[in-house]
Amino acid sequence: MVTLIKDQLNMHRYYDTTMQPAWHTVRELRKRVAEALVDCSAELKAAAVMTASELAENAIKYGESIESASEIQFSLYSDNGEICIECVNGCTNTAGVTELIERVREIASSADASVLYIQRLEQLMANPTDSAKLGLYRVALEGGFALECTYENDVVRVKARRKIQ
Amino acid sequence: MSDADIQLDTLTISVAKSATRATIAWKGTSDSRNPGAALNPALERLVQSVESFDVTVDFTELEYMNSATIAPLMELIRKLDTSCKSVQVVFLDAGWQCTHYRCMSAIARTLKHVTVVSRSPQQPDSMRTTR
Repeated sequence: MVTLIKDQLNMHRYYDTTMQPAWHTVRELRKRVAEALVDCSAELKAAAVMTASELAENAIKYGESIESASEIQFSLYSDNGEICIECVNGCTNTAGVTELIERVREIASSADASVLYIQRLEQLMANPTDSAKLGLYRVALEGGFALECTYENDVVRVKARRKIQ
Repeated sequence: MSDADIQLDTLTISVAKSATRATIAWKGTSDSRNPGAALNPALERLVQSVESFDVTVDFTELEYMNSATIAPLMELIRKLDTSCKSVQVVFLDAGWQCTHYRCMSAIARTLKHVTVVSRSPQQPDSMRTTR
């Protein structure tokens, strides 16, 4: 269900949902995000759909159901001129989350996301059996989103945000 | 759909051959969890079937792909580069494909037989840019 609420902080909540960690839910999520952003530019809508999809895929692949986060929580909202996409999931694999946080930091500190992306493509060319692990680079480069990640009490929260204009 | 075509859920990879040229066209949406598992063996057979051709790989009708699709896509390009004399990769000069055009152009500089071009949506038969 799409919700559109404007609160006192000038925040529009376009779409909130909880998702079962099942692959088929990602296609439905892309559809819902596109519907919620129907009035936005085609470029922003495509970037948000891709970003939502990549974050949800990661949550399904690497997350797990825990007591405080039994499902994946997804939020799409705008705040102070930025479009924000958040995905929250449980995960007890601290090594995996550490890798995630390091990748987010690497992207945040990079002056040019295309350099990281192309480096990863070259690694894939050299080692074709590797797992792609391109999603976050793609969110930054193709989507133009900045990424943040927190990890607390076995709950991972990944937030992507970019200027609407 | 010919026997040589590959179907993976909502993704179709079709192959059309003329006397000297084979065109491999990706169409639809690729959003499987592990597309490489299904695509890599099929793409390997496809590469063997086009070894004697000049090859075009056309992504202009690919509507969406997840990042998991990029690995088998790169593997296809790498294998074609080692097997064929000439490989032209075509992206759409619009929307999300622009980024992939730029990145593939950078990668192609390290390959022997691959050129990357972009095509305007308004001019389907006109290759506008070559890198």
